[in-house]
Amino acid sequence: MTSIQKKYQSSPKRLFSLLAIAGLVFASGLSTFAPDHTSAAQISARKLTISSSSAAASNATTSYTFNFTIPSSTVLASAEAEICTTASGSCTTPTGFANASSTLVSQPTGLGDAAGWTVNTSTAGSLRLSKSGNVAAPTGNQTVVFGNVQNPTTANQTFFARINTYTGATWTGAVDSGIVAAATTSQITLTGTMDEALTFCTGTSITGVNCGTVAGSAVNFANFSSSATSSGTSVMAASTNGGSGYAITVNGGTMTCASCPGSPTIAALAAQTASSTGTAQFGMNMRANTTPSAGADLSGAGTGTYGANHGTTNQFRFVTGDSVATASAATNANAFTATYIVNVPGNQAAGTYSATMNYIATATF
Amino acid sequence: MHKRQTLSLIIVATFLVILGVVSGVDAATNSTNYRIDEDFIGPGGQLESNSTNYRLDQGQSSAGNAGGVGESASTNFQVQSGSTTTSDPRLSCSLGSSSLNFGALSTSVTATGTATFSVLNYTSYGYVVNILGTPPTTGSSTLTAMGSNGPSTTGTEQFGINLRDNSTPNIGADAVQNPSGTFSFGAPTTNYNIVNSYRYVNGESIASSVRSSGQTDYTLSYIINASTTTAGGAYSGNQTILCTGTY
Repeated sequence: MTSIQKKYQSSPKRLFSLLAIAGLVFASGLSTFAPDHTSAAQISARKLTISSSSAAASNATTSYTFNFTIPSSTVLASAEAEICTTASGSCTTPTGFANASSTLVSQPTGLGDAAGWTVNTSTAGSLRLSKSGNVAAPTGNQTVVFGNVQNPTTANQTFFARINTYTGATWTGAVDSGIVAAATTSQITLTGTMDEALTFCTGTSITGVNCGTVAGSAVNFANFSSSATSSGTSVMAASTNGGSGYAITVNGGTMTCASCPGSPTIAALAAQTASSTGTAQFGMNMRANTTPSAGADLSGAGTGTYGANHGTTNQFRFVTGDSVATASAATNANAFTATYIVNVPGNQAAGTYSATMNYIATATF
Repeated sequence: MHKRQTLSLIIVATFLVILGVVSGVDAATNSTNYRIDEDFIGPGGQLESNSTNYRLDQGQSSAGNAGGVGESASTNFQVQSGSTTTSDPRLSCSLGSSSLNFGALSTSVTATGTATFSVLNYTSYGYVVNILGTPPTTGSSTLTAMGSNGPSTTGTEQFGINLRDNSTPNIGADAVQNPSGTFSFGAPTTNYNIVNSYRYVNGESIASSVRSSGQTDYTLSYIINASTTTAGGAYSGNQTILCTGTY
């Protein structure tokens, strides 16, 4: 028989007292470990807006904007948003989430004092701010914006922010709480290819700027005369998606009578010159002229323009390789009209003269 | 001896009372051989729950009612029942497609592509889905986003989306409520909810639900038209959808 039993036997009243006390103490102790059903007040109208749902790693650039309404008017000194994989239970930080570089983008609104709140990054997985000595009570709706947050790096993952407010500046003295959910998503990568394009056509007739309608390849000046200017026209149209546009050059020789003895030619105009009858002249430009009345200005919605030496009305020139039209950027189609003139002196050798013009369009992408 | 029995009884009773307190706050009931996570157990079947004046429609035990949710009414009684579920918020936002290749862009044929995403939320005042990202680019050239609603027009540079089942061009699908419109309520926002009308404004809201909703499956329809001045090159761009719930 133990001494305690002896005591019990010797003093049953004392034993009852001890048992009662032990029972109370034990029950009291147990209640400490029992779940606490008296939770903090629920923060309402809670919302977490993240600036990007990208789950890309090494990308601590996301802003987390918390909007909520605190139910109590207790003066707060700190608040936090624990980022967890679950809404309740122990908090596991989602893979990849990081607050190490988080900042307070702006002072919180409605949380208390208008200034003096600072971010705290010392607790991994928890976006925190505090202001020791805050005196103003929360009012209205609250907004807290953290910047430079690294999202969880698992795509299409839901995560939770457990918002808590505290009276202490070191996240002690819990007041209110609320949970919000957010989610990362994978990215949609869009790809496509636009081929480099240069649409160019030449002929003697065209409808609008539509290269599908271009036709003809010969210009006949008929009989040359020392008293009248012979003229003729050809057309071309061009467009490109080349970022630096295009340049069109004319390439060829002047009018030549290949079947004539000595293969005489009609002198080309090496500089811009007005048409002059009775003088050997072969020249061209890209304008609507009056002397002689021939040609047309460019048309179409593009941004093309005339070559430097071929854009003056009634001024003609022919130098092989000259630029006759250009565009400095990607452009819709323009149609150009090349006007040719031929003047001959009285002693121009008889015969059939011809020339071949090759136009080359070069786009720069 | 009588005192000893009394003492033992008191000790046992004290512990039983204490244990009773503890078990009363334990949400889960379990032992080695069973576990009940939610210890509120309702009637177990329609056949056993009828009389002249009442009936309990026990969905969980009857074919065709998956949720145990239902309304029972008779002349004298009315019961609305449902499963007890977590009060935790939930927001699921998942993208079903990770890449779209539009192939060769053309001035005469509209390039198209679709992507799917699903949204589900719980215990919230609804959600909003925003789309983020610039149109595809090559070098310094970016496809022209359709800043206002309009039809697909070949020969005009356009980058646009909507969330409908279109005929011009023939792409896309309307939103699908899962499991049904009784439980799911998400819908495209007005500007992205017009058949054959496309638009793309970075950051705009493209879908939403005004209340807690089951899963809604959306199809994003993309169109790209090129013009003669659309810069040549390989275009690429990234887009993300952003789901935000209010709780």
